[in-house]
Amino acid sequence: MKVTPSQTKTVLKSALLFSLMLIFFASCKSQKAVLDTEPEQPEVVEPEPEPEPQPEPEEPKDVRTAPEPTLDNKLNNYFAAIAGASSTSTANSNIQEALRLFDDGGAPVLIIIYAADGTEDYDEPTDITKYLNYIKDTGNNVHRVKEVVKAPNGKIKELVLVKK
Amino acid sequence: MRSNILKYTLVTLFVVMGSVNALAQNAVDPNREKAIDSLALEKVRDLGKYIRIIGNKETPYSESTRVMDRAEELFAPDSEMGVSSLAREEIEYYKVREYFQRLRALNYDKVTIEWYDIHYISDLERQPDGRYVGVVTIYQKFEGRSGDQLSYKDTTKKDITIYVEKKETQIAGRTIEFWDVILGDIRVSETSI
Amino acid sequence: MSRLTLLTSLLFIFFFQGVQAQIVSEDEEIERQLLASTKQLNQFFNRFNGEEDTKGRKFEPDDRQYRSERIRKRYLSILFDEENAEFSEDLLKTFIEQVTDKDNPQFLSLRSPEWFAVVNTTFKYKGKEEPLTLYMQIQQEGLGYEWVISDLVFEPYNTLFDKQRGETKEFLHPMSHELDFMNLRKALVKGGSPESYTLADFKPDLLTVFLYEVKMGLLEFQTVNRLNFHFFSIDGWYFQLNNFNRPGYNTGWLISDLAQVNDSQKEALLKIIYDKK
Repeated sequence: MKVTPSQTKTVLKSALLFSLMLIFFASCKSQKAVLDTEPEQPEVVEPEPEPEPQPEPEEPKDVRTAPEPTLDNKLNNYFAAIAGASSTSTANSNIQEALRLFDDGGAPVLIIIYAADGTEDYDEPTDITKYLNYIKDTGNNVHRVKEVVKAPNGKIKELVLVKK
Repeated sequence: MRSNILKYTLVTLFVVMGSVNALAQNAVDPNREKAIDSLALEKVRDLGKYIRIIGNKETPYSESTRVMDRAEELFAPDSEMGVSSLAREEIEYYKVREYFQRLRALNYDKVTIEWYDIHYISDLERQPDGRYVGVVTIYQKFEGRSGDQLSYKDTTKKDITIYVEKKETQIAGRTIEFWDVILGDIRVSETSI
Repeated sequence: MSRLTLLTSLLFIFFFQGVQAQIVSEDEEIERQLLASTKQLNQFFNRFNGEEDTKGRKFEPDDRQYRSERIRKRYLSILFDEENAEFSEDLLKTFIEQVTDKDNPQFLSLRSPEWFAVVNTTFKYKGKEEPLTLYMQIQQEGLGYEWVISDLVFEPYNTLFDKQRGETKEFLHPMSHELDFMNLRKALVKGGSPESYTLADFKPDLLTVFLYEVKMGLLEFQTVNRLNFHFFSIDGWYFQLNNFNRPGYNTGWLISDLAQVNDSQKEALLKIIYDKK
């Protein structure tokens, strides 16, 4: 009975993968925990109509304001918060908040599942309301924001996501 | 995430010829096929999560109805579950919705549904109409408790049909090609493990 | 190396990590068994061909292990039912040697020639549930492939068109033409034996009868009970696949019957399988 180098390699690979997954899940969990403890904090909530790369103007009355996260980060944080919400009501209020960033609850969401040679393959397009509910139901936080298209009013009218 | 009514016009075209090229490309690019496989597996996992919510006795009725709608959207119309057990070899057939409703109505105080960490994804085969079809196999552990007593327990193999089709849609004036991955009939058989 | 050793070594590789862990929970043990099981016919093909690893992940065609003789031999030794099969180990060895032959390796797929499924079903017929066997094959059609019904066996049909020959049979006498065949009125009656009035070599097409009765709602499909597969795809060989649903590591779609067959034996075997006289 012997194990060839290639099999050893496979086993080692799986072990490596496993430890990576452990680290990944552990970090997800801690992120979840952090987000869960702060649903009442309003700082990720209010949409800012400015184009996102510019620094947000300081609001002098709010002393707690940390540097405002970019729109991408805001959305990604919402995804994480909804996926890891401790209760349905927490998830629902996060969904309501996140929806305020959008022009309309029916704003299209495109999900890139694969990209190569300049072409992109998508999952079936959905809309933001369905997508946020999908995260809530499945706890799947597997996509990150790739592209945001804004309406003239500064709100998001289309979202492009990509598999993490 | 199948969406039937979207605010924007979803002009869905069946691009049969497009899909010929699409999977022909897979031969050169196995990574694309892997991405489609993992998309299929994701849909199957979503179904698993929906089934857990529907089966969970603590899920409010309205919530489980909403989740049933979402779960049903994963399936092609008229999809059925064909169920057999060790005691009853012949297959009984249920519409997907009916299966979910039976699951919700099960007379236990507590229901636990878990999936084993083993799955198998078949190759995708082309059918006469040009769509691709594959089968994802998963194993589910079910436990029903009444009070503190374990009243029923089984492990079932679920062979889940997956249809894959490349489609096109117009979004904000531009054409998006996407992979429509939907579930079809499911064969549920009890295992003796 | 004996089959047992091969099996043991494969299991060892399957479960290397588990062995290290020493303590094995019930769930882990079940997952090992599920991993080892040949879960789909697709997996039987991939294992037979050496096209996937032990976790069921497909090798790329440029992978060194893809279809490698070593991997195939190892897989082939576990694709047989080890509990009930009656073929000898020597026969198995000969089979494995032939299909993994370096100069002429043989592979299987959905598109292989000469294999078919035998599906045992139940239909409702004249108010009663009756067993009916369907023979199914894969064929190319349109842009892809499809399963089709090639034949069937249904007990009520077996004698339905059995026609007597010789002196005792019913007949239309040889001068019937002179009476404008007015005797057809007495020949073609409900519950009669109209097959008596056919050519000597008349052979009923039972598949057509079956399709007609399904269309007319006289035969109603109820359920599938079980199925198995018969292969004549490997030159000079016959084998049968059955699904073994039982605890242990030797489960799923496995070869339950293996025989070396020449052409006439093959014909005879086909007749038996198709239940032809």
